Amino acid sequence: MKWGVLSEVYVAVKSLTRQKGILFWVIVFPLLFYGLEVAIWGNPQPETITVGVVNLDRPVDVGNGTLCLGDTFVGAMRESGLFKVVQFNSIDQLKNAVKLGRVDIGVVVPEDFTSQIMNTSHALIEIVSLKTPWASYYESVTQGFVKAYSDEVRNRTINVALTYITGSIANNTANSSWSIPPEYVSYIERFYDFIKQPIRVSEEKLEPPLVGSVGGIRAYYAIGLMGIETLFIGLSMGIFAVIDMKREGTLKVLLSSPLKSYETLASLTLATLFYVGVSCLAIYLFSLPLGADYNMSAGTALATVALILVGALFIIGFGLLLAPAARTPEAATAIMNMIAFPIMFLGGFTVPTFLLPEWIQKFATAYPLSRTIEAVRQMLTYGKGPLWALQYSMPAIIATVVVYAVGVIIYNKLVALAMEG
Amino acid sequence: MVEDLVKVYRDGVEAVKGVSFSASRGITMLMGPNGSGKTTTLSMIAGSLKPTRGKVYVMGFDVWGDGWVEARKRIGFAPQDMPFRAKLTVLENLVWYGLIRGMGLGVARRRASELLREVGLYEHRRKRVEELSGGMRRRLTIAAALIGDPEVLILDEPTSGLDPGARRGFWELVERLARDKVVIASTHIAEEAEKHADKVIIFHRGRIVAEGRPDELIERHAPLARIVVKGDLRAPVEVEGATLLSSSPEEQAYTTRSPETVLPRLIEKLIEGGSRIESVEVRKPGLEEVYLRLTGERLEG
Repeated sequence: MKWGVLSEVYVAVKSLTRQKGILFWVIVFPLLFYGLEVAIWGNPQPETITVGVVNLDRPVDVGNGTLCLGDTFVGAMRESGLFKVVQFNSIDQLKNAVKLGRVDIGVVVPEDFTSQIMNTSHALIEIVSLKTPWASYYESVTQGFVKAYSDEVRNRTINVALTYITGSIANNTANSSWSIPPEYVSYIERFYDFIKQPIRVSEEKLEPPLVGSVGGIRAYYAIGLMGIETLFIGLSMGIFAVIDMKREGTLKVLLSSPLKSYETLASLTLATLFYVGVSCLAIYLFSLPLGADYNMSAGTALATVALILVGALFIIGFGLLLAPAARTPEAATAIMNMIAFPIMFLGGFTVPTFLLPEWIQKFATAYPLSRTIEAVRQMLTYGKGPLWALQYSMPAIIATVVVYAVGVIIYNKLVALAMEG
Repeated sequence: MVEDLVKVYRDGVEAVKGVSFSASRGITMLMGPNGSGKTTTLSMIAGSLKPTRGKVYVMGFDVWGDGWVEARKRIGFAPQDMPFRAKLTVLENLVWYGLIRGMGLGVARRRASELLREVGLYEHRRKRVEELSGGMRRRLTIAAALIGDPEVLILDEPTSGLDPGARRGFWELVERLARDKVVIASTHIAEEAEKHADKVIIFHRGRIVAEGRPDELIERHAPLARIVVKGDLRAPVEVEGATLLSSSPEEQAYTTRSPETVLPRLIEKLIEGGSRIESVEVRKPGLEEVYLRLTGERLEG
């Protein structure tokens, strides 16, 4: 083994606690960021609920017109101030929107909604939600609203019934032998049963794109943060590799050593992987006492290490692709910020992918680092197996091989160029 | 051995224009002012700067050809500002250099400790490099260049920024090392080259204008000492072995090969002629004069 490839790892190990900048970005920053994320997003959020509605209710003829209680129900939702209502044409569309997180919860008003109520039979509202802590909050608010509406229907029904009964009693008091006709008995029984709860609720729980627990949410953000750290550390190494060595004068020493240029790159890569590893481990360890819950086993742990390694190699290679444009340290910093921050937000690291607009979701799915981090999330928070994760990451692995290989070529060219003076 | 080395930078500047020389055990010093091509030449020998043309052989291995790995194994290069990791200790920095040279961690540690004893920095091994003085840093530079036990040690302006005391100590160390190594160093200080070099190669505008032992160069190119007399002076006098260089009522200058024999007679004759002498200065020739004679320019400034 060529020991030279470990030279930068040695420096990295020794510098970790001594260089305040490195210590901050590798350990302190992610911990602060994670603490902030947990504080802000770590629990279900009380907010205006975006409800998706499919109103299939058919109007019913009532004397001088028609009545559609489905419309009044949806109108009442709008007016309540609790909901922002988005209407859908089909139940499939609604379910898709719930899964993608475009609406917080879904409500289906059935086609017999009005006719059932008019017949004093129970009407059934279907609530579609995800198995997440957020959804349980949305469900309770929606159910509360349905119950309030149902109570209103009950009160009105009772008023109508009272008017009818009062008239009927007045008409029949003269007749002392009057009694309730036997055919009315079943109707009265149904009426009493109806007014207990005119509108009932059925629930359909959709498989969420995120494990449904607070521990899962916290693990979700921790893994995202591992992605961010990998992004920043790897990209910075790739972009700054040659320009930093030139500035420090290390390049002169390396060029006059027996190390080949690919060995110096291997050395830098290993040092970067060391920093990424330390950072991810710090995030993991920090997230445990904060309640993060991972689906961790030997297999998923190994696959996680492998996938983060793949992600880091990709981003190092990606940084090397940008390195020729970084002719000065200032230019390198500008490129770094210009690239890293948008990727941080668009890549699904900070914001759950399913909450992003569809076109960004495409980017987050296609971008190799995002894909590997998503695979880790699916494993550790969603219970998917390591083999599935590796399979899912296959396009990212292939992209990594290609990008890193091109990065090596570019690095060699830059070193050769530096050698020209 | 360096053969017809040429370096033209991408901006068209021709820094080195066909330089050839060889160096053997001892100290070979490249002397010349800043910008004369010394650093460029050393960088090409060390393998960190690719020549536009020419060959460099180190112990028979072509630095820029097939034998580049073997050649570089035999080179220890200390650029003008040797990069050290400021937050690492003196020992750790040397271990880092050891790893770069392909040593294992244990071997690098042992070798680093040995070298720190050799250069007198062992007591400071736990200090961070940023805490070292300029002189100590130079010693560490030497140790870093020596870590791979090279046969050829290349030092670029190794004493720049050092005070005279630190310089003296530094050169004592290098002279000791040069007993069994080829040391190639650069300097723009003539006195330094004269005192410590076994061989001096004079650079001027990217070319070698002279090379040889310091005393040989002086003998060959600037053999004459200069006697400068100041005071209330009458007419210049004629003394055998001395040639008048310049004359004014306040100052007269003479050149001579043997100032020791000429000086008493010169003073005697000037006094006889009615001159009142205030001071006499004998300037012995050195590499500074050699450079002046060869190029028409002063070495420093």
